[in-house]
Amino acid sequence: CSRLHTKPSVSPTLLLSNMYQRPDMITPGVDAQGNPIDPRKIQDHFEDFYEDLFEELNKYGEIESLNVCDNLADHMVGNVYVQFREEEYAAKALKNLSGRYYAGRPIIVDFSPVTDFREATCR
Amino acid sequence: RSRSKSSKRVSGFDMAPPASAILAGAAAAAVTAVWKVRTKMHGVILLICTRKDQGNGQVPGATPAI
Repeated sequence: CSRLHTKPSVSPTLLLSNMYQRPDMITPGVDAQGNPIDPRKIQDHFEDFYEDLFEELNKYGEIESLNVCDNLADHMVGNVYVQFREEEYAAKALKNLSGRYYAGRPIIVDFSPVTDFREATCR
Repeated sequence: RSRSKSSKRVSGFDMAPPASAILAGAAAAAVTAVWKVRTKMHGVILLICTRKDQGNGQVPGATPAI
């Protein structure tokens, strides 16, 4: 997003920027080598990622909501929003995830102001 | 939704970048280091550039900036 969003100093919600990478993110429906990908494999890939993420994040406290942007457009692509029951769980997760890698890429994690995903729109 | 899994999922957490990426990063750092050394040979600008590394802002053998 090109807008300058405020980052709260504490929040029950974390944003893990661009963490999910679809197997067909370069060209929809085909892999990096140009071979067609079965849509079921894309779905399985997503579910594996979701489970992997949930298992890790659940270590830091009870999760209220876990949302993954699996869109292919640039806006918010691959962003993960995790809302914990308590702010302290989010703070613990932020501390533990900072500086780590996921699938060979650094994890970029910040607090997010979003607390209600039904109302979450870019303003 | 239930689904069958033929093999155990491998976690992506703490999976380090490939060695080629690390080497590319190291090469970039080396280029930066060379750039810093070269700037030492160009007078005023080099004093500013090397201030951070030298601590006291003085480059051995360099003419003080005017």
